[in-house]
Amino acid sequence: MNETVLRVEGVGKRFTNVQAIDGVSLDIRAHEVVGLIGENGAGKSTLLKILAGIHRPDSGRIALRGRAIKLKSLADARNAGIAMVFQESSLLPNLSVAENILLGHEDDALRAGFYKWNALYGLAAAQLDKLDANIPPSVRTDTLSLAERQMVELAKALAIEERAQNEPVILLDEPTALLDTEQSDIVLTQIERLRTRACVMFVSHRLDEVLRVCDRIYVMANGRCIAQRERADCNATDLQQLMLGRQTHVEYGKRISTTSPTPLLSVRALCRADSYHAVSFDLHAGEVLGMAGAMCSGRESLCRALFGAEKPDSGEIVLDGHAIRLRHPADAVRLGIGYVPSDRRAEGIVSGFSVRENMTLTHLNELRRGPFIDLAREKELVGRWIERLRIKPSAPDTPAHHLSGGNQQKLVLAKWLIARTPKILILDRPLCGLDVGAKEEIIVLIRELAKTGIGILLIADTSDELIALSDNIIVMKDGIISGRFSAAAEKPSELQILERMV
Amino acid sequence: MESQRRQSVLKSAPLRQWGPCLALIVLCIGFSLAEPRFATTENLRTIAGRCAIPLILSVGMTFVVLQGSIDLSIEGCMALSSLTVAMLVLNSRTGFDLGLSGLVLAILPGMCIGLLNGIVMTKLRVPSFMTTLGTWSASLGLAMLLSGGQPPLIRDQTLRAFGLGRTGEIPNLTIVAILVLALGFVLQHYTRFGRYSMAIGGGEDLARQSGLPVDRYKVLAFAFSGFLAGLAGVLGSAQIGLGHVDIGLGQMFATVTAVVIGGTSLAGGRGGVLQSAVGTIMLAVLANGLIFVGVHPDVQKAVQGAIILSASLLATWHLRHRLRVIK
Amino acid sequence: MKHIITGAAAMATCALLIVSATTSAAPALCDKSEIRLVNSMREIAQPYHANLDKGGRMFAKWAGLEQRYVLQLNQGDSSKQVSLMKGLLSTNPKCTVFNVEPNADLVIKPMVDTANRTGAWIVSHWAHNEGLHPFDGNDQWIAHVAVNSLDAGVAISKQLVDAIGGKGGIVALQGRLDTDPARKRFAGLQQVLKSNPGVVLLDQQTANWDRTAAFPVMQTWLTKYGNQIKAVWAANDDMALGALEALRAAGLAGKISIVGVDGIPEALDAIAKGEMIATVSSDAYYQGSIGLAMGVCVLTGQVPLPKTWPKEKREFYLKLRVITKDNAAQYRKEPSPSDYAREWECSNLWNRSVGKAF
Repeated sequence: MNETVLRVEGVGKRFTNVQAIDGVSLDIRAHEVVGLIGENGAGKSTLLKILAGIHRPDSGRIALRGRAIKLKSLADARNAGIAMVFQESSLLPNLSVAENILLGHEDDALRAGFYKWNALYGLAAAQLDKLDANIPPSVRTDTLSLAERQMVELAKALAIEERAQNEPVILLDEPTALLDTEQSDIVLTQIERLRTRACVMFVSHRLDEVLRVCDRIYVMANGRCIAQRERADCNATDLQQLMLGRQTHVEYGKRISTTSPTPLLSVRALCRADSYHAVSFDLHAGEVLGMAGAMCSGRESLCRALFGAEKPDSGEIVLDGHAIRLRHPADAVRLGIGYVPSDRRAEGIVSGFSVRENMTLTHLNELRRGPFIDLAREKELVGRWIERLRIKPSAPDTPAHHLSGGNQQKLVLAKWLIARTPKILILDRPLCGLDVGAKEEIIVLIRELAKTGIGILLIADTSDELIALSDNIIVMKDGIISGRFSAAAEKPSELQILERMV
Repeated sequence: MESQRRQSVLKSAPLRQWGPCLALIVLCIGFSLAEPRFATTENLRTIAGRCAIPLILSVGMTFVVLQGSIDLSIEGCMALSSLTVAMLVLNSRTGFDLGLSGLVLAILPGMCIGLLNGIVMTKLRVPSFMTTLGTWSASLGLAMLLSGGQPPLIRDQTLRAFGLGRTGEIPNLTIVAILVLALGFVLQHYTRFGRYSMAIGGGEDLARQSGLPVDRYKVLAFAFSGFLAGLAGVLGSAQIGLGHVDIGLGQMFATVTAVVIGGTSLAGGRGGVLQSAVGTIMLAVLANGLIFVGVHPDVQKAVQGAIILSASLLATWHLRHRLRVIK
Repeated sequence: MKHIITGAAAMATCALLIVSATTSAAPALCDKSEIRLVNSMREIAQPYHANLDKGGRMFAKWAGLEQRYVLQLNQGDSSKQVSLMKGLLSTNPKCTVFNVEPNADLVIKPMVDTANRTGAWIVSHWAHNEGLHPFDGNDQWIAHVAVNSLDAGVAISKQLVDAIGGKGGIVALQGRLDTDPARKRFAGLQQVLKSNPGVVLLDQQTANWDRTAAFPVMQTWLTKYGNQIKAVWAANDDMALGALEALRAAGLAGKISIVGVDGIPEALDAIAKGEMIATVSSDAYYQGSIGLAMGVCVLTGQVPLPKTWPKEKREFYLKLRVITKDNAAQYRKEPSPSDYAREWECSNLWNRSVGKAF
């Protein structure tokens, strides 16, 4: 058994009226990868942030190599040899990649206070090479895609290696959440390699990944650490059970198709330079149309065009038999098209507002009475939806940015369903970053919605979700439709879809 | 597709970056065509002389603006240093005759005001707009007290000769301005001060969270701006021959305008000293050119305003289509 | 002996009666200790304004009212000039005298209205709006001391034209275009130019009364017109001095004739040195004090109420003095109260009047 590097004893943390963590104890040993899993809102992120020095615990103690430590800031933690890779970017957007990787530690590349750029780039490249990442260190960080930024974050955490006297502790908060299969693979390989010179705490929703790289796994629920397992002693189902406290049937079984014969939405020969070309398909009321495709297949761009956030260069969109021109998202909202984006922080919710305010934001018109908002009706409506979607915490005036990822997703969905049901819902990776329990709820919800006659355009995270949920599937590759599958016929296999995608 | 996308971002960037330069060239060509004497060495020398002090001011303002703040107090700093130098070198009011050391000492009041700005802003958490508005009034008032209605006339001939003279073909003040510009460039691209200022402008919370000593660099930026404003006041006095409360009249607005039309965003995190320099030169060319072309004084302000408005629109046009915040 | 004493007493009483009949024309309106003297002007950085203030203080000291002197500066903001006045008049308006250098022509009416309403007293200088006169029922408006800016402009322009022998190109620096002095002085130049066709006005710009603004304009002109410029006409001394520095930078100080207006000490020095050739003075010390003197005379009852005065005493032109090399020396010394004391006497208030204005 290896020596204990980081020991957490009885740590607790409270935020205003929510006890995020309550008496958590665990330890991380040398040369091991420890997994941390749990539902959304279980407290994993908070725990990591305490270990990284961002939050200070209300109770308990943390010991690094036997000595108690009090971390006052991120820099403190880094100096102690604990580095965190964030779920949301901690990179400074208008600095170069190299500067971000070596932030605060440019000393080796400075001469008398002046930057030696080549030296800086060299040092950064060394870190990036550890990940086989093909990112030039001299570009501005805000020109990178989300996945590339994640790589840079990882490189930034790894940079601590050269500086720490002892082996570093690396905390990873869902590093693969936004990556595709290929990139996830690279990251996971790196994590495995890290083992030899660091110890790692790895948080993820993807149980297959956790089971792949971790030696031991802790399970958290409701702010407490409820179980610990060795990798050899468990499998995915066990873990799910532990997380939810019950058996789960993520049954993607057969569903009764509820589509109507006339198309609700018809897209004809839609084109946009550099994004997609000659896209045509029909969406019927009550149909769930899945869209598969790799990172740059043009899916996202197409959906944004259908929502009026981007203008296509040519082609036609026909809704209910009338050709429509969407100049602005407000047009789409008026016509009954709702869009649930993948990046909920940036596009889904207004973080300064409360749950209630966010929910009613786009539909204040319907809640009007004269020039005022009908508060009683708003309250009743908001309350109903919080209950129906089981949004936690349930106080309507909770600031939206205090909600966990999954609950934020539910909030975004509620936004579009409240007051008036839309005709069409475009869902861009609605299950992204949600734990099993939450996923289940959303899937049920989506099916319910389809049953009520809404046409749903779905971009899903994984192919099996897509297959399970969709009536029909379109596969896009490099901007054109490379395959169509109909569920009425035989259900396609994951492999078939994958073939069309790449 | 991804690498394609990155390339397209890079491709549009140069156009955006070179926009102000292009505008400057167009202005110059336009004025030369309208009035051939515009493009003579003598006039270019006049323009170079005219933008010396604005250039110095723009370097200081650039760092402050890059961080997302603003310095409204530069006119007061200039006035204070102007009065100080006029009382420390050989002059008509006091008995001092400190020469070069007087010159150096006179820059200190400007720098002190800048330090004050920085400290009030970071320690008392007063927004830079309010802070510098206050110190602007205070330093102007102080300068008025020093002037006392009888402004001290500079009798130190070496200083006057420096202020009015040239080395070779270039006015002395312009040489100082070029040196300051070079210093600014090096600071911006090769020191932590410059790079962290950019970072602070791009996301102050993030920078703070990442452990950067944000407050320290804010104070530095304001001190630097105050220092350069003091230098500008001293040089202005050398040129005009007395300690003058109005030595900086109108410079604050002109400097901010120059910084904006050059392409440095007031929101912070974007731009630089060279960009601000282009903006400054553009304004100097504009003022000079309008006289040359013979635009009637009543109409001049309106024409200047229209050109500045168009330049600002051009500088920020590409941002109209920003739909999403890339995270 | 008894008749001598009675006779002397009778004569003395008669004399006293006669004297009191002629001099005590009105009862004292205010106790002298209550009188407040206010000078309202643009700013104090320029020597002209500084001397206005100095003149006012000199008078206040001479009148024993040194502690009751107030200076109001509006920094070029017309509405501020009015609001500062209103603010001060919230206390003791009836014993306050305002001596006003208006920021712009249109500021006089609101200030006169305020004086009329509150019972304060006001003396204005320079110019005001057409059709507005003290004698049109504005009883609190003691007087308007007009300066014939047209004459001033003509005077210096004549000096200029003579200096260049009636032939050659000149450039003109105008003051703030929305003020009467700026417009009238320039009109004076244009008048002289009309009768001197050999002199050509190459260019004119406004430098807003400020030397820092005049400097770059002059530099640009030197580049544009080169040696076509024989002389520089400036609407005030400060701008003239700014132009002078530009000439100095080009090595042309003293070689090109410059004229200005105001008569500030620096300009007088320049004239003595031959770098400027002429200026016109309305005597800032006088302007800064005469209004206050008039006010004190009215408030202490030593003169009858202004509404009884003839028109030419309510609105008159001030004597201007052209200063050239010949007489610069006598104006260069620092003035003392004794130079003006005679003119502050209530019987001599109109000593420098040259007749009815407008």
